[in-house]
Amino acid sequence: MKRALALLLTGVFSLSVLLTGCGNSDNGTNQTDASNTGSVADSAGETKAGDAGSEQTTVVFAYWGAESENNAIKNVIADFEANNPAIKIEAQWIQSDYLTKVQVQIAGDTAADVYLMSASDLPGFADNYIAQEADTANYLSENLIESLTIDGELKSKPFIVKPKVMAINKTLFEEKNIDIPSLTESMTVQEFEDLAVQFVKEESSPQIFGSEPLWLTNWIYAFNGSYYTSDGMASNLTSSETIAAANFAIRSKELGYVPNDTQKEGQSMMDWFLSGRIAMYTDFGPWNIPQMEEVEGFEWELLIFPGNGGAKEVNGLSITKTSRNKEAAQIFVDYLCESERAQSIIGGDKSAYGVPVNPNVVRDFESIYEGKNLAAFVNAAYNQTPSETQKRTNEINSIHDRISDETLVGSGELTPEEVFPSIAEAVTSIIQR
Amino acid sequence: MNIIQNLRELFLKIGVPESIVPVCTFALIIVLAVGVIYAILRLLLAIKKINSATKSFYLFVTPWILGFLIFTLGPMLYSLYISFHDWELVKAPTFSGFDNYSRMISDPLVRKSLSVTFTYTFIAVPLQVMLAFIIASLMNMKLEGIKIFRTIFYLPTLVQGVAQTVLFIWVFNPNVGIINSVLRIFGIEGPGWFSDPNWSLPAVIIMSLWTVGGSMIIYLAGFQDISVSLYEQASVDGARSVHKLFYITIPQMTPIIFFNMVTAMIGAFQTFTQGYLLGGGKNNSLLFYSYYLYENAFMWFKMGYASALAWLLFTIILIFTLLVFRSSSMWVYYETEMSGNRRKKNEKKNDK
Repeated sequence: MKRALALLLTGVFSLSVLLTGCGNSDNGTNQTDASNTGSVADSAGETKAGDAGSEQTTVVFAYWGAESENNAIKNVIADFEANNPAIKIEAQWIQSDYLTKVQVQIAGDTAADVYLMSASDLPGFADNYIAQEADTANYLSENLIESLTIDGELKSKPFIVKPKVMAINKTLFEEKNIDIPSLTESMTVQEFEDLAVQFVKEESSPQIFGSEPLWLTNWIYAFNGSYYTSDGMASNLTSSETIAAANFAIRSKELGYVPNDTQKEGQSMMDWFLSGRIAMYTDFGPWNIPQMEEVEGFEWELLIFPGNGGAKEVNGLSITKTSRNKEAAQIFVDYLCESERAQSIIGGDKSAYGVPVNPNVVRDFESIYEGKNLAAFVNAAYNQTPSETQKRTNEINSIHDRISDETLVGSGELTPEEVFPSIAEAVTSIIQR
Repeated sequence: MNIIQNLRELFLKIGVPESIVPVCTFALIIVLAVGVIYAILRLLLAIKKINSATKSFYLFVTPWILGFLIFTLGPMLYSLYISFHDWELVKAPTFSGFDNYSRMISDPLVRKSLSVTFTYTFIAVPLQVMLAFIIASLMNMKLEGIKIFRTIFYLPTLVQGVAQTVLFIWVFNPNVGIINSVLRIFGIEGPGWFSDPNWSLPAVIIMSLWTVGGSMIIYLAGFQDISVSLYEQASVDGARSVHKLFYITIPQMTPIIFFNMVTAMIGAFQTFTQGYLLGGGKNNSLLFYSYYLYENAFMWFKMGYASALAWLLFTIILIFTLLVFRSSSMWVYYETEMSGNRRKKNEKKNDK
């Protein structure tokens, strides 16, 4: 009897495990095939889901950003859902370690349907996204689409642009009787250096500087250099333009118009600018605009970045190959990227999320802060070079850290001419692996 | 066959809230696993292969065994498997044989990270052991209010990891940090600490001494355990404090020193937080091995290579732990048992 009971128990439990493993794998009710929703495209580029009788489809949208940017995204999602009642957007706001979490989600088969991707990070993930189509007429410039194209396929549709401009402390200019530079024309890099040196005031307490420490990437592009060759197959660090940019950054420390390594240790340069210690802040992005509300005691303005401009970050929306709701996801992506209404909501938001990619609504971005030259951002969005991309960006960046560690650009003691060739060789070997 | 996916869909179908479906799935799998094991044990008991006590033993220890298999041994074996593959996490792994292991030999950053880790371990661990011992011996004094001082020395232990590192970034700030500010009072211009590649590792070593309070408590308990009669007898024989320290206190404390040394050494080899928060330091001066492993896995998408690095770290820690255990017979004294060598020597003497 006991033996029979024991055998029965063993059999029941083993069978239950087998049955759960071998059961069918129909989808649950929450994520139905997107083809059930149907969609209608209207002449303004808006698409609407099918009638209220269809089951609601959920599209999971993952993105990063500060809290103000999250609020801007939520506003545009709310507008989309109001116009597309058959599609519900589940927002996944990832506040930190975004790329790591995207990696883990994809590897763990829990990927979102739509991901916000930066052009510089896209190559590492491109194989997981479907190819999309975009009409260049709907975007500020063709290079936005090119920056998100991998191996001839558009793997992420341009959504927002985050270029760099230069913020200046007008009060310091007036104290020095220096004319405010042109708001519509960029100064040359030499003019920038000549200006910056005039603001150095060692005897003042706290000390005033012409600029924050120069971020090499911006100045490489300002000098018309690049990190990689035009075909992207090798490092371009040894080009004369790139080395000239590095020497320009070294000279900024020698001339004393930027804080040295000891002075800047543990300090926020943006805080220094906001407190009036820096005359020209060159690494100024749209996300810094809300911080300008904290400015007290001086007037500020925005100028176009010197030379050929800094680097602009292009962000796009990608749809995963594993998405079960590709059609609904595409409707959502098309709405966010090409609808003037959506671009106006996101681009005109007080969080200054970024410059909209739709040329018809850039005025909404410019009007965020009346009286300030936000047109400088729009100019940069049109003309600046998108940040270059490589498949192994993070690994290559760790090699590029040698620029700061070993050369006078950072805390090292060697010249760029001595170190850049070996760095270029290491980077090229990674690219061509 | 995808058991987990099917169970999740089953729970969703019967109306379980989506937020608790993972918990329910996991719980059901555990219940089923325990049920299968119970049924097998009942069967073995019924056919008299095991007795009732054995059945009860395995039943009670099953949850631990399941946890060990699922959360420890299973992932370890999978990482060993992955170490022989190229895996970028977002794509399927491809077999690469011993490529990852041979790459470690020629990777300069592996040598650099091992150098940083070994330097930190073999300087910080002895310093931590000695400092904790010295502080504990002071805290063992019979003075009024000594308990307050014991609390004060223990409190820093509560601030570890990220909070400790962020705090010490400010303590070691070359401009406004307290260390350099105090040095300036004496006319000494302090180093750059974390901004100077020659001083960043010494700064981390100094930082590690902040949390010796945990070891101090263990030493303190050990001091209480030393028989007072030993000190009394030594006093009668004319021993001074120094003699008592070296011939009574330290030998009696060697088991605790041994324990603290082993745990501190294992922890030091796995140092990660400081390297991570300081970005590997200037010129990779704080490129700890665990941090380099993390970079390969989660920043550079080289999961196969990172798995190989993990097994190298495991091997290194295992070797050094075994070395310390092996050496313990020469210097660790157990009051209640004699060490193997001493016992054998005495047995040989008795045989003669």
